[in-house]
Amino acid sequence: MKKKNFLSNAWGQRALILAVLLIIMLIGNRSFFSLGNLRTILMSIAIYGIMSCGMLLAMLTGGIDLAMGSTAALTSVICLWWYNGHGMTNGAFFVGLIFAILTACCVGLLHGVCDAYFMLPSFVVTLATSNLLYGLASAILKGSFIHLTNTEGFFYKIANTKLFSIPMPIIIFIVVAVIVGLILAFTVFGRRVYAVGANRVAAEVVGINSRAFRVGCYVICSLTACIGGIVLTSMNYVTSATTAQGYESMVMLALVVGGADIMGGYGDIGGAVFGALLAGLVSNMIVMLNIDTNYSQAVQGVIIVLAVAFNVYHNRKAAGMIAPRTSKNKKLATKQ
Amino acid sequence: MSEELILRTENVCKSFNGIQVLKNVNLEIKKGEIHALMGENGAGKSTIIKIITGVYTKDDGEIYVDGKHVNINSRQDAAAAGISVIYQELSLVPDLTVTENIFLGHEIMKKGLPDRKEMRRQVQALIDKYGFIIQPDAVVASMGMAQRQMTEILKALSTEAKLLIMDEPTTSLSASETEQLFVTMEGLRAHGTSILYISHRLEEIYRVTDRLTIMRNGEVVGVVDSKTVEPDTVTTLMIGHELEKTGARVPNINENHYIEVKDLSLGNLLHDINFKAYSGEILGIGGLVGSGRTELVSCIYGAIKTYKGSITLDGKPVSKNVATNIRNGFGMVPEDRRTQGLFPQLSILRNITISSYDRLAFGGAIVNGKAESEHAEKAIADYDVRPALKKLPVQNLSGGNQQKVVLGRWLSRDVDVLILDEPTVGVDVGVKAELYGYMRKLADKGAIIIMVSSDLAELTDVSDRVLVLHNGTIFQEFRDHSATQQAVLLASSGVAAKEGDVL
Repeated sequence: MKKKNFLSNAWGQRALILAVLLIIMLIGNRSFFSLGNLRTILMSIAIYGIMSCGMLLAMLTGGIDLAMGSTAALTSVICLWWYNGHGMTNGAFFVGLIFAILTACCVGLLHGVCDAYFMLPSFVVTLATSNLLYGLASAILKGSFIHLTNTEGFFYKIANTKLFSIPMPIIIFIVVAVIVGLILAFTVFGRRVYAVGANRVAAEVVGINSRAFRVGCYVICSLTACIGGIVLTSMNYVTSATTAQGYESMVMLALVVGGADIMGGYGDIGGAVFGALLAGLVSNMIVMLNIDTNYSQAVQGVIIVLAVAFNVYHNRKAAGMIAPRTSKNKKLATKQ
Repeated sequence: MSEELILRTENVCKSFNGIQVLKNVNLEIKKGEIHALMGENGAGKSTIIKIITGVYTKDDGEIYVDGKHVNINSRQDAAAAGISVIYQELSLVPDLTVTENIFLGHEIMKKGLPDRKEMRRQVQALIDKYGFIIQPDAVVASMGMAQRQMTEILKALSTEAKLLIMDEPTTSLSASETEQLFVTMEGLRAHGTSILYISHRLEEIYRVTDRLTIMRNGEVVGVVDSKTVEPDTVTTLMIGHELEKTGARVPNINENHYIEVKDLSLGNLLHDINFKAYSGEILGIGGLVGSGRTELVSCIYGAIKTYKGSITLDGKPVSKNVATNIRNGFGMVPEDRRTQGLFPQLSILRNITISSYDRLAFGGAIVNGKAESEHAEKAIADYDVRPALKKLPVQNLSGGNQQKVVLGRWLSRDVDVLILDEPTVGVDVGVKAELYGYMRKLADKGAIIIMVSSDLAELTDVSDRVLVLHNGTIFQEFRDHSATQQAVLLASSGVAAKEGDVL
């Protein structure tokens, strides 16, 4: 029998990846482990995590949303713009929030309808809307920034209060993750999401409206982008058209490292949470290792490729798709 | 003797994760023979083929090609040794011509440009030599499946293959195309090419092959002369025990519970279809691929909504919404289980329960985990799915067990109307008999069963009544088990035979 090793378990692989990163940081920069920095890491994990939960649903049904970052930017700009323009009251915040949510719903619907009904490739569609949304956001702000100045209001408090001494963004992340996790594990909707992702045609045969599910998942995905954008704005007291730019690629990293498949059907909330953890660590590491910002994107890209390769290799090995290259085989091959 | 053999394997062994799937397999194929390889799913046929063609590496044993010892560690090694596989999922580029496909990747060049004339000449020479019916300039997309297979074969021959391996080449072919393929194969044999032919269909083995190797549980259990061997001997060797003969049964028909199709038309695919399917019987629908069979049952199921005419259940119209129909007791086992039936990476449990959450959830929304689990366990036990591991991804099961899962999905919820489209394709004989048993039991409980099939034995033995479609109309009806294989075959091609005629 094959020896079961520590790495054949998904969490074993994850622990190994984390250990490697932590060792790099031990050598590279000890201040990585300072309390202040750990808080920063937790905050960015919260944002990546909230968005990963949404993208997980889109990816499970075989979609992808490359406009998550710009959705976050546009919705947060809309919310804060309305807030600042209407007296910075809590009432103005909620109205702004409603506009932001509606915008996110429209974006999700657009993505879903283009993918599921017009069968346009989601990569292209969401890349295009990504540009569109950034454009709208910068048109609203005429290319400048917008600041959150009312430190008394609810908007400011979203990211700047604690519950049981845990920062609010982390709580929001946990709540979103628990909700999505429960939906996937215990509801008929969750069962059907996996079915649609595994085989759309077969899903139709058992009476599931696979297109509606795909649209629904895109909408949820855009909604989490909206939540992420609002929390991020509250955290930074500022937003602009370039808020959360590039977050979608970190979210993709999070999910793929967490075992999700961009073809759909694979992935779970545990993997998404782990991936967000990793994404937060990696993006912080790049800063802490004083990597020139000109190279940080490239380093990020390399890490994504390595993580995906590691993951895919272990999955294939588990599925028996990589021929065992044991010493016995080599001997046999060279015997004659 | 050994110089007569094109391929000899000696004590080939292979294990996966400690489970031995091949035990000392000795396979011998002579020059210029069509050699059949049979065995139930999981007998080790695909594994030995993959070892011969370099997809898997053997753990132990030797392979000799043309009397010479060879090491095959990759597909390239296999091709260099003269072994070529005709892929089921054809590997041709649809937009290119026959000639372009054959020379794809190793074009003959002249002054830096492909020499079309020379390539065309060589292809024509091959076609003439083997007597194929195919044009070197025909575009692949415009050709039928049989001609595409010929192109694949030509491609193999152009690289001087000495042994062609064909894995179930007839599954996607119609009866006449199959016959064309057999003629092609005989032509190859006459020129000294050997063929290793894998099939589940006994009649094909008799029709075209010379010798037959039978495998069971990873071992070769018999090598026989396929012209003289008795069918019972073959099936006994394959499954290890005698197969029970299923005689004609008397269906218990309830004429008050039926599906009626009236004046149904669909574009130019179906015209004026009229029939009733009664509770208690298994209604077989025959005809060639493309005769409208699948479209007809899709209309009944509600998957196709654009038809004209009416479909009623006990006089009430059948919904054009699949989900509604399922709630009302409909079920469908689709034609291609891999692309339409299964959720490959999901567990056996999820594959079974996916159609039954109207019963397995609180308020239709929150899954009742206990009921879900019990439902799946019961189905796995009732329909003997092996291995009986409810959490195993269904893609790891053999074809027969996958089909049990797809069928179990509906049987476990006691469907009232079950539509089966090619229910036993790629399923071995033993499991076939089991599936037929489940279908009959369901019919006896009063369900309406409509079964589309290309398998003539299945249509004539399993169905109580057979309708044969030809060009979108019902060409002939055979009542009371009067259908014979020959009569159904003739009717499929639009030739009427009298009921019960022995031809």
